[in-house]
Amino acid sequence: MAFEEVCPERIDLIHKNYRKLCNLLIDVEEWGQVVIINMLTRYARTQFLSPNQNQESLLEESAEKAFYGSEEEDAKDAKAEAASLAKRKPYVMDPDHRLLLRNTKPLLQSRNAAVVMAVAQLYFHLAPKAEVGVIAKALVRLLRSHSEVQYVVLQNVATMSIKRRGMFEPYLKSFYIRSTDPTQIKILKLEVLTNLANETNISTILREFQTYIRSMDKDFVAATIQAIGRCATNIGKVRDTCLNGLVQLLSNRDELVVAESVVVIKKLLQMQPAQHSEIIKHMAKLTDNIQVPMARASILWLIGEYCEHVPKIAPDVLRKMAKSFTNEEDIVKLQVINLAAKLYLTNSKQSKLLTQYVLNLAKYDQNYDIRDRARFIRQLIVPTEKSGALNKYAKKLFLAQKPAPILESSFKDRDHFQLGSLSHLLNAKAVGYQELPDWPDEAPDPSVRNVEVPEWTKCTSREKRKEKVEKPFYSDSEGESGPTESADSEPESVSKESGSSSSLGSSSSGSEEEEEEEEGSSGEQSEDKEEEEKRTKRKKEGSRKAAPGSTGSPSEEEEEEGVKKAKKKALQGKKSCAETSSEEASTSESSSSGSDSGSEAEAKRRKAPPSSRAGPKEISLLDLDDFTLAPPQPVPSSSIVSTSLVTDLEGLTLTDTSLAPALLSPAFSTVRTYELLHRMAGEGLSVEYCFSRQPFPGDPHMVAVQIQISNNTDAEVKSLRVSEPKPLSGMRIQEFPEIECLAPGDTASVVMGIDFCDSTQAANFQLRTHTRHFYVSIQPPVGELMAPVFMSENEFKKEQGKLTGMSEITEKLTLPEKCQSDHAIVQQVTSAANVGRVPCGADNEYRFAAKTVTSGSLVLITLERREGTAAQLTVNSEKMVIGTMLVKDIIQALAQ
Amino acid sequence: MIHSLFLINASGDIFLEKHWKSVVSRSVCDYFFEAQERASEAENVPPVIPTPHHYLLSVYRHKIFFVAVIQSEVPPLFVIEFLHRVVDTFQDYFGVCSEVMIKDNVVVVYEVLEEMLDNGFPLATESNILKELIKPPTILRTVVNTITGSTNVGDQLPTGQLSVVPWRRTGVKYTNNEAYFDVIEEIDAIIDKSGSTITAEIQGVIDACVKLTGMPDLTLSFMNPRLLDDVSFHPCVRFKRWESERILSFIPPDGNFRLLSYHVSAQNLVAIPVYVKHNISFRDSSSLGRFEITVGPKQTMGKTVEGVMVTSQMPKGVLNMTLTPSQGTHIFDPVTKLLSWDVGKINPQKLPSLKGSVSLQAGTSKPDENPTINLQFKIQQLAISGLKVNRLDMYGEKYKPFKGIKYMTKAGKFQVRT
Repeated sequence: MAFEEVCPERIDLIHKNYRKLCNLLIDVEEWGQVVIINMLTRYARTQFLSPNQNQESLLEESAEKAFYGSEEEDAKDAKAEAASLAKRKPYVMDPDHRLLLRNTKPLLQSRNAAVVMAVAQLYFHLAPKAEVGVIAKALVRLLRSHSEVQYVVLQNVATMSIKRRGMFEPYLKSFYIRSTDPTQIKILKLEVLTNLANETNISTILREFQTYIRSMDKDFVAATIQAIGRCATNIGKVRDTCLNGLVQLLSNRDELVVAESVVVIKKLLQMQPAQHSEIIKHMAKLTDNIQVPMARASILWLIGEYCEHVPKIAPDVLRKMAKSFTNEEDIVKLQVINLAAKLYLTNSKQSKLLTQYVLNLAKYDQNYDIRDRARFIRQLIVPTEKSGALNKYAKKLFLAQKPAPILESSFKDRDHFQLGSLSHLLNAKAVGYQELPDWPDEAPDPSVRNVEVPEWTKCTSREKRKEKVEKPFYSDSEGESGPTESADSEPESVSKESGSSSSLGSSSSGSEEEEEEEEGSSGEQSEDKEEEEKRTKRKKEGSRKAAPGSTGSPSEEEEEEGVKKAKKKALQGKKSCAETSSEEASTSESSSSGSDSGSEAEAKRRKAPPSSRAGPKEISLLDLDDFTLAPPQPVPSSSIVSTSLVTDLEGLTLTDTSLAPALLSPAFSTVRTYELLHRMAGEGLSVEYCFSRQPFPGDPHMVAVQIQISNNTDAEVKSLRVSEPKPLSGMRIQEFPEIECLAPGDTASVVMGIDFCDSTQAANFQLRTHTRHFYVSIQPPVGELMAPVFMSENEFKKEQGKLTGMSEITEKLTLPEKCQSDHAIVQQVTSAANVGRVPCGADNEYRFAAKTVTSGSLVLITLERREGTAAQLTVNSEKMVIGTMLVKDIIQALAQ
Repeated sequence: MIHSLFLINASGDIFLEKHWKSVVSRSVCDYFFEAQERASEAENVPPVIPTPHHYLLSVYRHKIFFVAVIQSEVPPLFVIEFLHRVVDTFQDYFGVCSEVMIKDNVVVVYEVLEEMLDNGFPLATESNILKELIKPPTILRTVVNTITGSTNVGDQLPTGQLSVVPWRRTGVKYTNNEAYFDVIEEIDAIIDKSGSTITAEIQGVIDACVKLTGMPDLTLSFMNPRLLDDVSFHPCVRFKRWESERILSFIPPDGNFRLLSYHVSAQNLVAIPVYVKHNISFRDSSSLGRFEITVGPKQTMGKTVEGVMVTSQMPKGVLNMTLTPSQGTHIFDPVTKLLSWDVGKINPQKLPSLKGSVSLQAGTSKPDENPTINLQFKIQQLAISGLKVNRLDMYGEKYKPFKGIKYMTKAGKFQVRT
């Protein structure tokens, strides 16, 4: 705040603190958030390139798409959109820009309206168009608040809705007006409704307007009539309907309503006067009754302008008006003079005397404006010997074709003010308003924001104080926050990776960025933790060097390099099947989350397995919390993780399918692909599927099935989708989004979710293209119907104790030669079934645990090695059928 | 930022003023009075009024205008939100926020304002912290203060402000440990003439009253968290946990607070629990009109609809109404033309109705519109969206708390157009 007061223009002071500010934002108290967000908006406008430079056209539609559908889908869409956009154009969003957007997004959920508004304006000014949609929902929520808040929010929504109509269209009904709203709110809502009107929703909006016209609030009725006029001018289709409606209003009992309709009709008629002489006649009759000056003036102007269409009535009207001239209001008088002049020019025989009478009256009027006008017009139209050349052109002057007025929103010109600011609200520059700078043409050097690692510890005293006051509230839950943190950063890192490997080919940005991220994340930690952290880091650095199996150099950049190398290798191999792509996703996930997000907990977690091998010295460094949380395999327990993971999968396979890598992760080494549609049966279209073993985003009861579709024909395959799923009772299928077009030789990968109801029955459905449809079915192996759970040895024993008797199945088997090592056994079991390993004290026993996906019943597996090659397999599960089948499958897997 | 605050009552008297930076003359309020005059009703006063040297931002609550004076650019919502927070705090301290109450506790009011705003910037706005700084007035304390001449200002700095959980003070002790949660849902709807729903949405809040010893860490999970479409949380809720697992995990503030407010996604159809049959007509010839409304239950999931209250703003031309209700009481105010009918409980066997005639001003033409009917009702033990709390767990403390959850559905802005 001090910054804002003292030197708001010294942008360069923020550079060094930018990332810290972004990361701390969520923990700052709410009033500070508002100030910081506003400041960062201006900062970002000077430092980053506009994300919407060269894609005005394609975005309108994509923004549209992102709004429909559920929240998750929205987020997914937006992310995917962003990823694909980043690929399509050379523009790559600065990672710091992305950081800001990502860190402010949760603040939309704040209870403080000012914070929400601040984030909304930040998104509106900074985010790529496809992502702006997220703010609409939050803003609509604010409309429930106090009327003053509504007033301010609606003002801003009105401005936004002009520029981005699609954003608020799904929330159209939230702007419907209640009779209890204060008038100023009603008028603003009306403004928004008018802005949102388009060909599709105009009929509903007009129907609403019809009810509003009958309202008791006359100011509001007048505004409604104007709104109808604006709809009519903007949407040609309904112009006649609107006009008819307005003409009906002319017989309304309330004078204000009639007057307002006259004014609006006048504007509408100007667009197409020829067809509507009837209406003009009708309005001419109204001059007897209407007293509102504006309306009278409008009618007179209309008659004058189109006196040729109503040759009989016009002089009569002039006669009447001449009689009452002295009692009229000024604007009416001016229009009477105007009408007289026009009539004189077109029909001088009938109206010559009348005109002179009117002009004489006007000559002695009290108002100098009217006197001047009369003198001017007399000179112009009445030919005298003195009158000059202008006389000849009088007709042209008066009866020239006039362009129809354009009815515009009063909010049209407001968007140059920063939204949410006082100046925007008043549409005038307030004292101390800081102009929102334009996007720069060239991005300034991003490296100014890089901070040397030791530097950020000795931050300014102001920052220190802030940190002390606003220690993170979540320090006790770092374990949980870790994974989500990393998940958030993934899609972006992926797009960046793909971008850098495909188009830029430079790895420097990646490494640089990762360094910053590391600082950023540590900024989130509380101060006392920082010290400890550094120690950990240093130690880890040491341990990394010592750690066996690392690629020789300890830095994380190297790892990333490794991934890239692997990709290149795969490129040579030109292998592209779903199996490997999914693996790549999982490995890139782990590597990117580790190296990229740099979240401390994540890093620790990643280190956990090797550290247990490295020795007890390492364990002592880890928090107890983190340690217990650290699972042997990284298992995303949250739907968010998986959402972004799916996006990753899609993003990766869509962007560089040919780069299928050959990296194998031990846990998934034998993920099998199954054929859904052979290329012969599918007439060149081949479809394969595998079980990605990730929780399906959105529905935890569904098994995620990764589907790889490749087009081997030489024509494009269009609108590929699932149709007519015929699930057995209880089974549910979540179809993948339609693939609009698949070029020849291309491969697409999608994820669909199937709830198999814990049975191995096949799910049948049709796969449709624009020309054909194929009946296909997916049959899950029993091992895929479960998801791993993690439990301690004691928990495992306790649960096992409950599942004895009928639900216990025991089988003896012999282990073949190659399945003697621990590693091999674990690998075989985990490949046969999606289970997680449970730590076990005895070294001749292996335990695994999982839960069935649909019903969540536990499946516990114990494998006990006896002397020699003999072994005993025990499966405990409530679901006996699953248990039996699982025993069979595992034995088969082990025997191989 | 905020320079001064003026409190103006309904009759236009400035009964309290407070300046933080420099003293701004009272005459600045003249601009406000001007705007007030132009707007016929109190709600129509624009929240932001520019004057040559200042900007006046006002909120209107409890029949009091809170007018803040600012001098330079500041996000208007920032000020408005703060003013609302001030009103909430007063309400929290004194039970009701009225002119009388503020005048009675003028010392506390000044103390509180001084803490809430520091040189124009909001400082302590959490009511828990404020209450530690400045103790809320009680009868006993007032008596003691008058005798000893001491004030309500606490002599210790609040402990919460410096800890990691600023909303909770340390060392809370209760003999009965209890945590109550109220799930309250409001239906906002517009029903058109023929009884079909034009728009309907459900907004809900979870208000909590938590009285637990020590530093409990609570988690609240829902049976169907996917219903919640748009949520906003109390700052104590761990956002990341919600994002990843859809579980509310938080260290609660002490006492009453609003845990979260939510919006049920628009895709879900909203069950409208009541219907209104109406027959309102004004005849052109005579100065009499007919008026008849009946209220009945629709989709109530077997619960009784209580606390039904029907209000309707009659057109200006209505002189009086002679009505007979089948149950409850009704009042028609001939000045404001407001009809209100307190129905009470709806008995499905015998539907409540209100019948009678309307007398219109003689000579005037019939009003061209029918009045809209506003409805209020309550349904206990039902969350209309179907939201259900699954379980509440406590970590970090040894004792067993008493837990309770209450559901309620209310009408929000429920309007029937006729």
